[in-house]
Amino acid sequence: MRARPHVAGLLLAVPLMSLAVVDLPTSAAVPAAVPHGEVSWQSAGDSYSSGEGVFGNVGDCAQSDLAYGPVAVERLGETGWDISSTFTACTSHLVEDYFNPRQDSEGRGSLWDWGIEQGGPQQPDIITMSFGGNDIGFADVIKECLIGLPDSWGEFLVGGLASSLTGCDISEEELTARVDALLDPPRSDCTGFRRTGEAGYDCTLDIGDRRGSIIDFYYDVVTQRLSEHGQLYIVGYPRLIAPVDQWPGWIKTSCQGVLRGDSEKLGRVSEHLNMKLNEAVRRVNQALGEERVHFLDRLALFRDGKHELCGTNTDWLNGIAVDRGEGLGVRLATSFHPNADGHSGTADALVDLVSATFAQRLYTDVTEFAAQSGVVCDLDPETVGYPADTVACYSPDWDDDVVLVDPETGPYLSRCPAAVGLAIVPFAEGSFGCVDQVPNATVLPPGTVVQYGNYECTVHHASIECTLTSESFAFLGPLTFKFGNNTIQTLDDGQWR
Amino acid sequence: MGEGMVFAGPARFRAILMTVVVAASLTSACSSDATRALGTPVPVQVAGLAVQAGFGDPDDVELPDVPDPDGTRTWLLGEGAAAARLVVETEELWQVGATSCAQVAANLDTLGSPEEVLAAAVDVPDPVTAELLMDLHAITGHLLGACPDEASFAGVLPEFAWQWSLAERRLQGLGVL
Repeated sequence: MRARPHVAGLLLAVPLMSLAVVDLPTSAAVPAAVPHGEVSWQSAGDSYSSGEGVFGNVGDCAQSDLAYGPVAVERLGETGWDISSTFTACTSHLVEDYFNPRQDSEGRGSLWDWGIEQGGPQQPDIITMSFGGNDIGFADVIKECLIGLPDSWGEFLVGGLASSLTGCDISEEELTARVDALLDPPRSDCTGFRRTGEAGYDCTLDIGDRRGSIIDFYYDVVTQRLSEHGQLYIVGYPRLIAPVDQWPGWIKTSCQGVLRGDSEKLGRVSEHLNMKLNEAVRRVNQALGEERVHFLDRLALFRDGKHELCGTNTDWLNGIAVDRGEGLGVRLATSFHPNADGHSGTADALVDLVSATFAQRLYTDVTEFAAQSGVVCDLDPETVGYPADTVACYSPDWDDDVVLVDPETGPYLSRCPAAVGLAIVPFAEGSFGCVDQVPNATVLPPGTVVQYGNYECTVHHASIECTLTSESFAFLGPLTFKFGNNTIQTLDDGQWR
Repeated sequence: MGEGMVFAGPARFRAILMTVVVAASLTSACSSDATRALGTPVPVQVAGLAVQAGFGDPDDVELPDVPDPDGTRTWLLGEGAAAARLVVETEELWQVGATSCAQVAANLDTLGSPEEVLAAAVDVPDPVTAELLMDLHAITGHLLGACPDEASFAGVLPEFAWQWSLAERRLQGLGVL
């Protein structure tokens, strides 16, 4: 007798069986899904998006092709994405400049209008941006505090101790309050713009058709400007200088000429700004009722890689930069901005974020998704632990993902690295996780042939096929394996469930 | 003036002149330091001050190697000499104390504006030497700002001494001082 039971994919992870198994890394490369059709992309923002810190930037907006936005577009294009892009990031710009033209914009309209002028659509699919730094006057603080110098050395003496900290006399509490006011502005009775001094840092922002918080701004961008499936990506600000306890032993009094006390103060403000922007993203998604806005934590990106100034890795920011073209002098604008390496690293992170959050959302038709993504969606979702009304797909390439598509809403529900792919298990009702979250689990890759008792089992993508090798043991009853909170049983008919 | 001082032409003359000025203004307590040539081991006084900064003994600090000693030396003796001279011109601050502030500031002004001197430091080919000189520039401005208040000056002086010691040792190693 040859029994060919169809076994649930859960058997790919069997913590208790003493089989000859192959251990795989639990984090396989996650390939970027390629959306069908053309994707329109607008790279907006301020100097931290325009590429001001990249030498060779051009124009009054200080734009560089090496800024993270254009670089991310290029890298996704190399993987097959068809992207039409506009580049509207501009140095010194504020939230209010996104929908309002500036007097000093050399004939351009607002940043939004500039995107249209560049040939962009009325409803782009993707908008990336960094805003907020100029809205709290942080750029001015940096300029004055870090690189503002008196005209002569004698002026240090006249001004007293504070004069050596030009611009740094602004309190941390004041800067923090400005950050908080971005999300929850205390005053709503203001008119005019921040950049012209008409509206204070405690005022609501002019966001075009109305005044409001930065959360309102994100909300309006999503609901009024993006395409139906469009996504907004908010890129945070890095901390400029590493915490003093991470400085090399030979750097103690200051970093890049920034005294340690000032460095710590500005660092804490940067962290607060980053945290609040992240909070703003969470709150706007709550208001939207869906996750349409995503936060790229650039502070963590630079921090984790030790890429802040005076960190232990390659600097991803300029310190004080010198403009050699006009003789010896400090180039204020370029200083303390992400350099080409910093933008490149940011672009990599953005590519990952966009790939994980945007591509799948374009598909509402499973067949189309399968065709475009090169996956096969013939899995029985219940056999891999998913609800019956979902569609489970896998890639013929073991290194690819297993994705779960909800045919009603389009977005995938969950995705696990291939090495743990089919061992996606429900831990509790409505909650899913990957098998690597199960202690002591072992993963069997497809093609593996294992012996278990009187069965010879071959592992497939979504199933394990077993053949009883000895009729002498046909009397074997149901076997039960406990796996996490789930129980997998062989039934009398030989089917595993 | 020690043999290590290799400023050329007017710069050398000015360095000698500065030492004369310094020597004339010294108190008896620090006269032995005043005539010390730059480039010799850091005397006890500055090391003692530096230790008070709480960063340890600056002589124990290991500095990374200079990847391009010739290029760095060329810059510091040429177009970027103002950055190297920052070490020379600020020595009086720890030797003499707050009473030297006005003279030191005047001497520094002959090197260039604070921005010009900073630019010379920023552009030093060796990033470690550049950082040391930028940081000396910063703490110098901070210390000068503290000059009018004796207590403030005394509070900042140890950190200045620590930074000065490292910068001086770096330039000494390069043969610039």
